[in-house]
Formats: sequence, structure tokens, C-alpha cells
Amino acid sequence: MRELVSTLVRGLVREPGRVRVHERTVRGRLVIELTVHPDDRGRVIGRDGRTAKALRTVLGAVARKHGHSCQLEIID
Amino acid sequence: MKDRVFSGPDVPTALAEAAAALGQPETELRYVVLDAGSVGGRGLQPTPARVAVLLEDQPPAGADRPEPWSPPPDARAGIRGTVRAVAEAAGIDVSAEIAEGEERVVVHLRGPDHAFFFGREGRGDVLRATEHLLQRSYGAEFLPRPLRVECEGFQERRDRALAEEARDLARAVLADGQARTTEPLNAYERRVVHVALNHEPGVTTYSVGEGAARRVTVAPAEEKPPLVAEAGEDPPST
Repeated sequence: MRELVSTLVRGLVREPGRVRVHERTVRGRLVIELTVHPDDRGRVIGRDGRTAKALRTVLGAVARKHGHSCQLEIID
Repeated sequence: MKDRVFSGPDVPTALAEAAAALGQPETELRYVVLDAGSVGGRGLQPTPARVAVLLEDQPPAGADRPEPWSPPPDARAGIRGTVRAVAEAAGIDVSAEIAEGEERVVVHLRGPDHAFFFGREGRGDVLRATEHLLQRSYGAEFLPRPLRVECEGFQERRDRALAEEARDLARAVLADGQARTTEPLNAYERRVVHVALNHEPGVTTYSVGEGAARRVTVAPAEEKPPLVAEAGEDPPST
């Protein structure tokens, strides 16, 4: 999942080298922590949060395919 | 701040053990010598050297370090790579074919597992999310042609159904003179409704609401849209 998040987010941002993805499991749920350059936060979130929602939709579908759930957190 | 203590016959040996255990070069270790150790002799027992290696800012190996990565050579490779990444992560057999026309660029998602993109409720949520991400990432490369993502005709069927719903609304509006409003629609879907009724005599369309709740109102042609409705980014032509 880390690699997928990295691929998706690097396409969106101006500073792909500053994309960091960290995974951890909390009570059986995969939590993905995403850090990007501060100037790229808006690009990852999108107008009205649409880009973040699109990321969560795709990641959720991938996780469900494996019988899991996941949560994307965009870290300040 | 966390630390971890390593010991050895002398400080260099303790540091070498720490470097091996933590997978880091000795030169990058931050440490404090707790005990320099002694070799003993003259009736004294030897004591081991002990060092405390500071672990702060040293994530576990591979936790969030950047992976080796090079940017795709162009937007087409980027699109194919993105779809490949989704397919690999989901364990499905789907690939992207890009059809570049004069009017638009269409990414066709094809393969035996294409239904993945229709989403849990079959409404195409994953398809639209994938389209949004590809548009944001690579759409600018193809301007002024719009970038669409299609999957076994799903979007085309939805567009046709949406346009037909819009015409049904228009007929109802013409019948009793009462304005009607669609369900919440995204920008692309609102455009489908506006375009479907652009030349429909007797009715006008305008968008109302904010954000995810934005909809299209179909009203008698003589009705003026509310001032707040179209002051912004969604003129009737879009």
C-alpha cells in the first residue's frame, strides 16, 4: 500500500522527493500517514477536499479487495 | 528521547556492535559513553565498556524513508504507471490504454477485473476517483483537450442517463412551470446537464449550492437565477 500511495501522491505534487509514507496498524486497521512538502498540502487535499477524498476512495477499494480497511492521514 | 545500551570489551567494539544491530554506519551514531571499561589486572576485575546510543529521529529500517524513485518520462507513462500501481496493490488484472483524439484524451481501463473500478455500490466511485487523480496529476499535459477515464463504457452510459434525466426534468418544468433541481452532482456531471439542455427551448439551467452539495436547477426560461448561485466558478456553460 505504501508504494501505491507514493505513486499516486508523487504525481500530484511539485516536490515528489519530499513525499513520505508511513504505515502502522491500529486495532487491526491500517493507518497510512502521509507527509508532503508544506506547499504541496493543498494539492494533496484539493478544492473542498476532493483530491484527498479521491485518494481515500481508491485506497479504500484496494484495502477492501484484501478484506481490510485503511485510513489515510495527511500529516501537518 | 530513547536510547539503547550496548557493551563490549572497549568503546570501539561496543560501537561496532551498536552499528551492526541498528543497521547504521558507526559515524552516524549519536551516543554517550556510560563506562569506558577497564582491562582489569592487579587484582581488579575487568569491566565492560558501555555506550548509550540515542535513537531519536531514527525510524525503524524502511519505515518512512524515501524509496528509490525516478519520475515517469511523460504523462502517458505516468498514467500507465499509476494504473499499474493500483492494479498491483489490489491484485487485479487491469491495464490502461490511452486513446488520443482531437476533442479529448480517453484512458480506457481494460482487463478481466475492470469491475473493481465500479466500486462497492456499482456507481463508479473508484472510476471517478481514479479519473480525478489522473486529471490532477497529468491532465494539464493534454490541455486544451480534457482527460477522461473510461471503463467498459460506464461513464458514457452514465452521461447518457444523466442527460436523459435532465430532459425529463425539462419536460416536467415545461408542463407545470415549476423549477426542478437535480441531486448533488460533481462539476463534470453538472456540465453534462447544462449541455444537454443548452438548446432546449423554454428552460434555463443554473447551478446552486456549495461544494459537494452543488446541484443544477432546471427552471422556466424567463426565471432569473439567484444572484448567489452563479456568481462564482460554475457558469451555465460548464
